[in-house]
Amino acid sequence: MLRKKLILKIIYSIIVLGLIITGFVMLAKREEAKDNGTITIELIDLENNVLSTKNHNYKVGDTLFKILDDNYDIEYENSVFGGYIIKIDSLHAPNKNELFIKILVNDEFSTVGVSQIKLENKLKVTFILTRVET
Amino acid sequence: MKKMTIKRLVIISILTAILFVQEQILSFIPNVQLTFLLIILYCKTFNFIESVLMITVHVILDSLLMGSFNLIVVPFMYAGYLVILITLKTIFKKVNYSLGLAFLSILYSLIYCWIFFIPGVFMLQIPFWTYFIQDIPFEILLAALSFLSVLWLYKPLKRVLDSQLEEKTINESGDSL
Repeated sequence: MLRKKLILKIIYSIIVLGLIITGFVMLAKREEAKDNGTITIELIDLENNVLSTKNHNYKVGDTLFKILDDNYDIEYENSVFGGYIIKIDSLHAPNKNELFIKILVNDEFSTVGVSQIKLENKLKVTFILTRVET
Repeated sequence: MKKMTIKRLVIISILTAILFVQEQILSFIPNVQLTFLLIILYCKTFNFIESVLMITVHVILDSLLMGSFNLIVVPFMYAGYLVILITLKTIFKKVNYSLGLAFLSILYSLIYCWIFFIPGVFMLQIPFWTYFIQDIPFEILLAALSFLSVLWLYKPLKRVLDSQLEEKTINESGDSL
């Protein structure tokens, strides 16, 4: 009876460990470009003013994070799941309980973080400084 | 109401400190923690008032240290943990075996994550489905780690805690009870 329970516990644990690994892989995945192309990056401030709209060429192996790092003055917090951007040029959100930088991909809310956004030709990424409404 | 001994008070304080410290130590990996295991353990060991006190202190300290002592985090974090306490003291009162509690910890982890949909959607104005999809990997991690920790650690920790609380204590004047 005890042995049966232990075996059951081990089986459950193996299944759950599989889920944990899947979760980590999903979160820690870095999306690299599979081909060359051009993306547009737009910066919008708190008052909805478009501060800049720039086109950037990318090549195979590039990431959105690399493009941002090479072309903008960025600050970010590192985590095991990638960078959390707190500053891009004049968009600055030092306290995430007051302000944050919202990311839109092709004018729709991004479902992933900046490290996981896949570069595709003619992709438009918009960064909007947003106030937390309490 | 049963009078609280000094020893019991000290144990509660130490356990609350452990609850807080382990979360800070593991905070470099989001959603990786032993908080659900410890809260389940404390709720199963201590009475309602004592458990409420431990959870309250933890929520206040955690949000103060993380800079999130505000309406977006505190009420929802508190509610997420109180769900564990309230259900373990009522509908799941008879669930005392580790496998049952491990499955409950999955439910508690999901409820805790889903409660944060409210500030996410209404205060941060993130579309519901976007938030839902973004949160799935974090929910999997939290639920899976809670399940594993409760499954393997609940029983030995409960045994240690019960043995500590069972020992003879001394009263304020130093006499043995």
